[in-house]
Amino acid sequence: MSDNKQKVILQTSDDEQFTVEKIVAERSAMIKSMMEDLGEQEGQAIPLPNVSSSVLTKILEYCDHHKNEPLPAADSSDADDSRRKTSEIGEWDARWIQVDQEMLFEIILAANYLDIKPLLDVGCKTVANMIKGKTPEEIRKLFNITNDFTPEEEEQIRKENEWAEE
Amino acid sequence: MPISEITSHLPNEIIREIINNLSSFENNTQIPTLASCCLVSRAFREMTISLLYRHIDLTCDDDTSRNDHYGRRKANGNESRNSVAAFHQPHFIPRQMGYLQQYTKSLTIDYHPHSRCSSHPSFDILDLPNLIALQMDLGPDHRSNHLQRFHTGHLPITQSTSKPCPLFARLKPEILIFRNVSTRLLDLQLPDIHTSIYEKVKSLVFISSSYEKYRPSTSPLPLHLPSLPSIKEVYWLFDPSINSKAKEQVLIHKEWYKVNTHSITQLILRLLPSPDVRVSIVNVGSTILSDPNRRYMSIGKRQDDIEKQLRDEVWEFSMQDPYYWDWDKIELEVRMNNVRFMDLRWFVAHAEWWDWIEPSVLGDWKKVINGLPR
Repeated sequence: MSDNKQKVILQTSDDEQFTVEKIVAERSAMIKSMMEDLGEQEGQAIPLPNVSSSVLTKILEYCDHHKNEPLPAADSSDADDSRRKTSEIGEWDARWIQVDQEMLFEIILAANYLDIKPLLDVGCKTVANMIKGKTPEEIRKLFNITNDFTPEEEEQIRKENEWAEE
Repeated sequence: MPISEITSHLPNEIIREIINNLSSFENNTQIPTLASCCLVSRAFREMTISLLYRHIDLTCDDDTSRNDHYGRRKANGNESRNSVAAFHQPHFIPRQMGYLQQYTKSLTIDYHPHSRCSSHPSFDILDLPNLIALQMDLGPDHRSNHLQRFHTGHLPITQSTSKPCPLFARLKPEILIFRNVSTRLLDLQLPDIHTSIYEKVKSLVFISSSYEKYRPSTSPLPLHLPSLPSIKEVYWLFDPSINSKAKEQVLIHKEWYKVNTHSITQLILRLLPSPDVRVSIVNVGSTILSDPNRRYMSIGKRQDDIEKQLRDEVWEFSMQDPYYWDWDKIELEVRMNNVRFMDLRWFVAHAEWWDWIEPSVLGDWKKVINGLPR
């Protein structure tokens, strides 16, 4: 369809403009619904105040690579929240997501904001791999979290968890 | 934006998503990582605790008698399960009992005769109201004396009491998985399991070895199946990761190591009278055979071949079985359509209970799907 060749302009938080194919931009459920709301207003940029140009460049790479895949069904992940996540990260995705930690978390935040479910999934899986085998302190550092347990509580949980430790 | 600022902006739903992904790890990395997450902060603990207690594995892995039959586990060396002993320590606290009751959806346990049972006293009152799946490992031969092990792990036998395992008394799973089932003898009227365990079972799953030492001349033993009031589906899987010793020798003594279809035939005959029960026979396939199309049940057999052999066998036995003498043969053939044969790929895509299979086992199966050596 000629429709697919249509272009969209995206404007990042640092005021850069990106002209991208509609089919690439539509990977983002958020942009897709915005385009539907805006209708046929040619040349009007879609503002993305939460995404910087460096992160958008990276994410557009992902969207371009996956542009021909079927879009995930809306709210498909809600029903089976407790189910074990079994699918693995694809080969291309795994190579693509080899970025520094800062970029990784920025990608995850942007994927969440832009509502690109498969990308959010790849990001979360990657972080899960990063915390594999880490100590509580290391995990706190990674997520910048303060320990809000009292020493007594911590001791209690340690005792409860003894069976689970390596 | 510095990394500390970015990460403190991560909404809880993303952190929850990350933690949920931990459950795809093999148990030996998954459980310690979940335990770490529980200690990070209150918010983390709230998001993690249900996963930490979701699946409890009480099988013990330190018994050397397992070595022969669990070559895979030993060889990998990554299946150490301290959980077994720890659950029986004196400091096992009532709060943990509460977690088990609230969060445990899946339990794995070795079958054991009650003379070997020395369960923690707290298990006397343990029921797991949220339990969905119970996996029981029957061991290499659940009738033999090899059963020196039990879910109490390290306790010496002299300490055992003579009552049946209290764990079994109250469990009412919907999915019951028997691993390491023998195709020579299928006896589920196990003396140490209260029959109430079968009350709510909807899916009954047998996982047996692809190869088994079996002399064709040995007359097969009968099938003992308890009453299954809620049963909807029965699966029989042939898993090449079981019984690795046989796997090594299979090429030498081909005629001894093969699948005895007798139990399956008997099982199908027993289930045919219930029109609503589906029987599915799943070929996990063996990677020792280079041709993926021939990785079915017995050496070098194609799925079509084995399917025909089994259907013929069922038919033949039904002619001999007095129960079926009055049956309309057409009706019997129609019922046979409730028996499905499927390969692993289809099964993994469709069966709902596969979610409860241990990630390391799933990992092996995935390699089979991808045609890789294990």
